[in-house]
Amino acid sequence: MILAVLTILGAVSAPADYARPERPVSELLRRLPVTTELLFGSIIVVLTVGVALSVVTAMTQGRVVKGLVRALAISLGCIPFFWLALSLALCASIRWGHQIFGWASLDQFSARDHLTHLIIPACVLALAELPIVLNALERVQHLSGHWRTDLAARVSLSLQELAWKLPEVLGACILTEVAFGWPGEGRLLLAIIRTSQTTRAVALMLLIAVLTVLVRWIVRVATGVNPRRTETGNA
Amino acid sequence: MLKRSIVVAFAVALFAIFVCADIVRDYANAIDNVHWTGIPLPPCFVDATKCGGHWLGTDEVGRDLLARLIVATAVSLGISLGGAALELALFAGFLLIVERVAGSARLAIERIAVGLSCFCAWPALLVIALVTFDFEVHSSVRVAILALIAGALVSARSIARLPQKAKSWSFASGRVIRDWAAIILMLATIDFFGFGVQPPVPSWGNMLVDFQSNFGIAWWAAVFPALCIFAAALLLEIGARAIP
Repeated sequence: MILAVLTILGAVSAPADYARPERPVSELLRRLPVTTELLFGSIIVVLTVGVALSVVTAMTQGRVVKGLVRALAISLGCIPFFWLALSLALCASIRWGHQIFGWASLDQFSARDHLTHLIIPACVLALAELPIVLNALERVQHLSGHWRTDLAARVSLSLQELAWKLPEVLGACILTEVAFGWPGEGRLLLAIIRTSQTTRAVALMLLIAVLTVLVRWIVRVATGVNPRRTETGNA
Repeated sequence: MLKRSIVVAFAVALFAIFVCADIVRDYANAIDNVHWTGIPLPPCFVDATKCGGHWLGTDEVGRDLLARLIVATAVSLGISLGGAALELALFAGFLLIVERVAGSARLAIERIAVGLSCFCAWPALLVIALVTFDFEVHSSVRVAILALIAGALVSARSIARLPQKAKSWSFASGRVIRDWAAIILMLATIDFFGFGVQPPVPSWGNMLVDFQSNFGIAWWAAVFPALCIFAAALLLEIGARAIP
């Protein structure tokens, strides 16, 4: 455990495990922006869709709409996400070809190509986050009449819930990276586990945990509410 | 009263499926061995003339899909039930401690649970397994340990969010049922990546290993195991929501 922490800090190079090829420590941090970009893109998509559905439900106040949204949230939460992500990747590749796979860095590709590679994986990852957001927004049933207040309340609630369930979101992010060939932390973690590089696996896991704590703290400061909420919604 | 009846009905239905699958497992294995055809046959509801008596068709290498699903149901539900049972025990222990010991004990346990909740569910499961036994144990032992670790991780996540003033026992029962669904999904993911139940023993996850290529030659083999996972998780989720 101490070795894993020091690996993160870069103080030592992780020793080769049973003479397996050693990956540079900097690779752990080099892939972080790739994963972060995918996460941010998916959060933008899920906030747009989730808040829109919540507002529509509040405006119509109909049991049918409310039931449909709840059914959508429950169904998406019960589908095995690895199957969903890989199926959608297969369908997308049939429709658009292999151009949707991989990460297009801004150094080598145009902004348009960069966004083209980002949008579909972000939308797929957003499907894993949508049940989290919709379940959180079930607590906000009415509109106050001030659109900014309503929007801020819904976005704040969604971010709180996403921050608390960030580990689940990161698990889905790993599966999305595998499905779409994104060179992020998730694919690295799987490769490390497959080759039994114990120290690096623990280091990466600790890095993810530390980042989770950081994100929860940031959301707590930004929204003024502890993301560790109860299931009944009490702060 | 109606909601409680629904919950009881769901629990009994799921347990009955598990018991029936376990009972017919030997029969299913016999079917699987006898009817080896070597080519994927469609289900009888798709093409009754070509199905050869295989109600759900055969998989990409010609094995009866219904037989494998029966065995996989018993395996997947049984293993995840172990994790859920551990979570129930941890919840019960926690609530007993809360009732009998000072509030500082609850606070300490909740702090530990909050810390554990920062780890990604199924990746943390793999890393813990890698650190503790490097997957170099017998497959059945490995799977049992993975299920128990899964139960411990999801219970930590739930304990971290236990309501302070709400009726904790009713919350705990609903939570355990919902977390059983989460354990099923976690273990299916691990089986899919080849770290859990090993072939030739089928599980819902490892039956989907080649599902992308199966979509072209035997779509039923790519869909039905996923449908089983979805149905089990949905049943448990609806049952959990029915608890007041």
